[in-house]
Amino acid sequence: MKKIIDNKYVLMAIITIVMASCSKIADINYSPNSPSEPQTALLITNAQRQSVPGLIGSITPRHYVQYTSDVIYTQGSRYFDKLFDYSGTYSGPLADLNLVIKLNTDPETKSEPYVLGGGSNANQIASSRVLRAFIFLNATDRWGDIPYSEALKGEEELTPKFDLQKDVYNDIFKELTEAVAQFDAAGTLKGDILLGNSIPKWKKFANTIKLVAALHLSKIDAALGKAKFNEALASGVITSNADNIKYSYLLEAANENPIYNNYETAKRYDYAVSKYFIDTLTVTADPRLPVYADKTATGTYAGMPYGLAAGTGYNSGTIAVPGNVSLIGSKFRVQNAPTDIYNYAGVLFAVAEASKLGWITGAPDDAAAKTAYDAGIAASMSQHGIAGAAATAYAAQPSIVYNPANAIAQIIYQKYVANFMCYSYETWADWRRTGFPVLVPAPAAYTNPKAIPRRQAYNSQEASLNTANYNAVVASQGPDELLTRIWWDKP
Amino acid sequence: MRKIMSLLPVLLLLCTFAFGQTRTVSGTVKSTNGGPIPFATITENGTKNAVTADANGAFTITIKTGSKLTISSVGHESFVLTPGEGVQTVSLNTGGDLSEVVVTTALGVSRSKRSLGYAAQELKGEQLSQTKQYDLNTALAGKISGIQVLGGSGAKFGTSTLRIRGINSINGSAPPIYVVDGVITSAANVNTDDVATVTVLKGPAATSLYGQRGEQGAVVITTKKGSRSKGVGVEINQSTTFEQITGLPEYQNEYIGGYTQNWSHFTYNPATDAPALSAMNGARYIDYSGDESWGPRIDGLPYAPWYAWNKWDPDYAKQVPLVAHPDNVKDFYEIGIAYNTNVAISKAGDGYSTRFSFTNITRTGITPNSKQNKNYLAWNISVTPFSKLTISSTINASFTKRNAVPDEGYSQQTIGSFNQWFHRDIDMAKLKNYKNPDGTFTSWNIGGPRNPSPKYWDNPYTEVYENLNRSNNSTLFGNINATYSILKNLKVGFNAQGNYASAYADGRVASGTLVLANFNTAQSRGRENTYIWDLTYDNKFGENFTLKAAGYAEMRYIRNENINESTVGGLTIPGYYNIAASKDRPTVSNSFSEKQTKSIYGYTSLGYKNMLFADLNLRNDWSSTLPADKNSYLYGGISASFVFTELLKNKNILSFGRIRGSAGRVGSDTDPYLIHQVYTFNGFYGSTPSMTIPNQIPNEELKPAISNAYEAGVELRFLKDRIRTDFNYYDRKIVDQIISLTLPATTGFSSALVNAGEIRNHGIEITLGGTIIKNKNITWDADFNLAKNINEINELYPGISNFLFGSFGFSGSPAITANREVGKPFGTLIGIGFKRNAAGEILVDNDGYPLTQNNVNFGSFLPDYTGGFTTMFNFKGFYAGLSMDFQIGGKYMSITNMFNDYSGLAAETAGLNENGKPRRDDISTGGGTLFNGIVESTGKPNTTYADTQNLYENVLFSLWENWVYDATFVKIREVSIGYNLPSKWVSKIGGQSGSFSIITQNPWLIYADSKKIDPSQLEGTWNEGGQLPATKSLGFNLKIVF
Repeated sequence: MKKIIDNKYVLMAIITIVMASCSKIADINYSPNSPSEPQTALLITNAQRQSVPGLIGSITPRHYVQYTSDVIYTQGSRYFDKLFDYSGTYSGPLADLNLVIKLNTDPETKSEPYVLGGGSNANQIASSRVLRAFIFLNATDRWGDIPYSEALKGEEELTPKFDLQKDVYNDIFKELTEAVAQFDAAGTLKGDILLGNSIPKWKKFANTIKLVAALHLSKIDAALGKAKFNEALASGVITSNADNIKYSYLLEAANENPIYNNYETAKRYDYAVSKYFIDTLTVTADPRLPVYADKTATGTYAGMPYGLAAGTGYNSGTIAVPGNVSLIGSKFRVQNAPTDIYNYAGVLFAVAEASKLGWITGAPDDAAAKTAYDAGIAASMSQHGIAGAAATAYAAQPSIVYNPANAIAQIIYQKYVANFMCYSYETWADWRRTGFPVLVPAPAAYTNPKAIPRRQAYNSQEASLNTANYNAVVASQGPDELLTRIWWDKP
Repeated sequence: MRKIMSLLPVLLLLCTFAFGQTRTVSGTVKSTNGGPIPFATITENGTKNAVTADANGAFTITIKTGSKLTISSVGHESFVLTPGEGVQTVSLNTGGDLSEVVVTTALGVSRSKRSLGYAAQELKGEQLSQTKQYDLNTALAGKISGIQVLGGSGAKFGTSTLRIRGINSINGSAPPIYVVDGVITSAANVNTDDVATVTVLKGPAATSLYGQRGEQGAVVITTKKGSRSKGVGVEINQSTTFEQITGLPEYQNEYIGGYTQNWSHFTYNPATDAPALSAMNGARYIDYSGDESWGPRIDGLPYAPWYAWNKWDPDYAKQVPLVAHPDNVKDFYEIGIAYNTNVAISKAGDGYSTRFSFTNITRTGITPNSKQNKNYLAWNISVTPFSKLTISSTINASFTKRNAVPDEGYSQQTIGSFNQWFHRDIDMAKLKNYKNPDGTFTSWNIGGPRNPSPKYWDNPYTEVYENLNRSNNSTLFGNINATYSILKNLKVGFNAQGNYASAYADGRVASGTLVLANFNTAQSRGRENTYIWDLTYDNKFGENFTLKAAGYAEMRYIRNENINESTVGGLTIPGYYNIAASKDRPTVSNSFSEKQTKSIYGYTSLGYKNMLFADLNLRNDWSSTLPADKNSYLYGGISASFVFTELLKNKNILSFGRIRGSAGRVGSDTDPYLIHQVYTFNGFYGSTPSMTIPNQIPNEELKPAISNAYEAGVELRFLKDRIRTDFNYYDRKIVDQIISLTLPATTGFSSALVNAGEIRNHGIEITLGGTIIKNKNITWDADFNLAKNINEINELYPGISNFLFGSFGFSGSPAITANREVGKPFGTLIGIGFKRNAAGEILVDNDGYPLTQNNVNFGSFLPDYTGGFTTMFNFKGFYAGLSMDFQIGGKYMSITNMFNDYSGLAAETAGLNENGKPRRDDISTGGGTLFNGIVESTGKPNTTYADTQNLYENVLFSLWENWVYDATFVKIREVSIGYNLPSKWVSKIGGQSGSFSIITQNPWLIYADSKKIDPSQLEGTWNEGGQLPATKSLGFNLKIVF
């Protein structure tokens, strides 16, 4: 018996030794593979790199507004794609921006070296708010009502509701106003690959976003739109081509222009310039056409008829061996070709439209509108290196000269041409809002009736993971379809 | 307790007492087939003096001079030996009392099967290696109840996994552990030639001693050990098998490549075209860039094939008659050949036994240029330096080299895409010319007459000969075990185990091919060390009681290191396949992870009259992957077994019967580095680095997951064990699982690591076996098994009733999803389905196209029933064996089938329609396809023909219901027919025995819903795309024992 007891002691001793060493084994569970501290400068870089190129480089709105058309696989230009997914934007760049704001706000972290490495607290917060507003504006313009006030809260809110677009707009205006005021001119900003850490540029970017968003309200809430438009103008928007807000691609595969990727990396040559666009520029002998498009094998400019059931008979060729439809011009398809988000011409056309709407002086002002309109054309020509005479000759054509009776159509058309291959979700928003330019829907459209999309549908995750809120938004906003109009899109 | 202890000195006394007129006899117990019989009992007749042979059948016993010995072993007839001089070899005939079958249970403990409170099915090595099946999991198919083999195409040299008793985790199914002589390794490292026994342990009661790693079940393997033999102890085994593809879809051979039936005509332009092309003026050609086969009708008239535009081709600028090439896909594939050579040397003597085996398997695959070379080395040694100490060691090494093993999947280039994107008029022989003298590549899918370079697809031969991949894996695993008998019934042991793996792989996209040139490499090293101390007590009390108990302390350490590198942006020097050639900054990542667990555990097993048994086991683990205050967890199991036939006097009809029951619990942890917040480095913008917050929310409060299982069974045998049945019921529930909870991404995260959920699997397993004929010349055995598993998700997370397991779809259109929905079985497939009326009939529109509705539930991908049938027939020296397996129920979605139709490749897209008109003709002229259904607007059966191409390309595309199939299948897996060579033949070459057999694998897929796809070889869990073709093989095997 005694022996057994002895054994028990031995066993107890073993257990004690094992257990004592066991509480320490958790120490090896810290990953050496990932940084444990968030460097805000790097988060800022990531948020910009993972959001902006995707939003401004998307081929989808370029198809919608018929800048481009698919050549062989035509589904993309026939509105086959219905569901569009914002998941990666919320869990990627938006989550990063929120973390930057949180780290710069929380008293416990705001003075940490890994936070201050991103610049002053105020500048990091303000620039993050501006970019966040830009991303949310893009989202609400595409889907309408979006998860906003309850979004990005992690486990605190597992099923974020959809906020009305109207409320999203109001908050975006508020955010932009506050952000502009928050920038701290003496402080720095780091990791900003978009605007080169320039605080003045960020302010112009913020005001331009506000200007553009305000104009979206021209039909639904002109009073609010007018107020915000003037606020933005007064605070300072883009005032020259040198101010253009653009995303710069680089001479490296990881950060290359998407058209370059399609043409030269993947060698797919999926897209050509659309027939509508080439034809309309040809009719007006637009000197920008050689910049915008390549010649075909026969030495002419020919667009790809938009939205055919199949591309039989059409051949995009390659850069070296052109086919029978025009490729997108080299200025927009070299590896590091930048893409404009907002350019000076676009802002001038916005001012021209606002003048015509009577937003600036309180009454429709054709003189101011014409001035801005002409300046817009000139800015676009100069941006594309078109010399004075050619530009003047173009602008002097009767159909181009400002005509008060047809001003909105002219302004939007010029904005459309000036913004070729720029941030085309904005061009699509102009088309939805004004109906210009007048486009013929894809003959082989998948939409029923055959029509150009007026919004994009939510990803299927919302229906399966956030069902109650999804059902509620469908009930209030209308069918989750491409042809449902969003709040500001009034006939 | 006092009484038990007092017995010890008595026994010790007995041992010493016997000296005087004694002698020592040592020997080996073997079965008639030459293999060792482990753990036989050797009893000195007329006394209680008995010893147990070791695992290799070796024994040493001290007896009175002149005594006889009785050697008995489960499953064998007893044998009385009059010991002669020297080392004894005893051969026991199989047969005898089946109720004493010994099986290997958790931790390699050999247990009498009758004492187990849970189901444990064991297979002998011969049952696995009958047809020289290289893949352990595939070799188990149909032979063990309650398992599902998830296979892969033979074109990839076999990569199957096992699913035991359904999906036991909300995270999805995980493979069981493979335990070879106590060492946990992967199935790929197991050489079926070296396997002595395999036991599949299916539930926590059986596996809880393995701890959390046995959570999904355990496949416990013992390898062959050295044995004494009459001859030199060398066994040579050679097999050669030939493998070919089976089950290609039925293709149409009426229409060629292109999108429309219209021809284009070439107009020669003397200003820009090469002079040779003047011969082609007016030639008919198709849209080569279209990778579908909706082109013109085959008419035997001249046309310009793709190679007519290639100036290097001998048929440049020539037109050829347009004829069908019905076997073009088949022509691409080759006959794969596998040579399997195994040499084993086995030797045993006084105080030692050893076995060394070497196996080489050299295979060429069915896709050109694919090769695999595999070498296995296995060494077993056991030494008893003095009677109380045994030291044994097992060392296994495997080396695998692979070359150009094809990838499969929807988006893979070329291979596997013949059924998705191809032209039916391609002459494979012309494609073999894949490279031009100037270094450019040819393809069937070219830009056009004036741009004959590849458009969307490279030549399949470019893919196999230029876009190479290769890999090299080495694994070394083994153990060293020392057991010392402190007292007669008490042993102390130490076991050190190690598993070391290193792997290298690289792949390339060749310079000048369609896609940007690339070179990538991956290297990994892994090590796992385990140290176990144990104390084992084994005794018999009086006539009636047996007690076995053991305690263990274990420490395990796992470390993995990985380096992955890839060039970016192309190669600076074409053809220089090295990371240094990267045009842009190469992507390089490395990772290191380590994990440690410490455990103490033990079991006691009490037996009464060899009739009633009770077991208890307990285990406590500490894991490094859980928070420090929650990293300790205790679990265990109890079980009981009652052999009620021991109470029967008359066993003529019911020869054996027992009931058993068990309850088990197992706790589990998670992977390293999941609980603390970290950030992810996310590449560069130029020289500017970036980082992001990971998409999963970590959890510093994570708890271990707990799984509870209950099972009960009855085993009955009739007519002297000629009929054998086993019925088992189990019920397993897992709560508080560690799951990666899918969140709506608008929360800012796509998942959170939480403890949540409850998933239940319950079901039955039935085995029925019989010896149909047994006489002097013939034995014929047959075994059948069937299992039904019911899976249900009871709970997920508060406020969450569903989350996705997977989805597949094309950007912009609704995907088909595999769901985890509360109240439903795991993996229900939901997607766009046909709109149906109240009677369930498909509704069509006025144009004759089917109408759709969203969110149709197609059912779960899990099968309802799985099972198999094996039979073995012996007639004198001849033997024949067959194994079949089947699955009933379960769904899968086939992307291959969808594109097979979409691209106009499938037979059903051509031919004549119900009106006797070509279905590809315009509907206005009587063509088209009649889609069976009821017209919604009229309620009458549809009579309007739909345009065939539009139907498949636009209407049925992404209409998931049309592409969801039943995964039910019945197939014959293996057949072997052999002959034991007469010893007079074999002895001429110095052999002892030999056999020759003809073997075949996968000879016949008897039933499958879609004949295009073998559901037992699905490329994915619930869907497949571009699946490689199934294969079958035929060969022969020659075995000689010297």
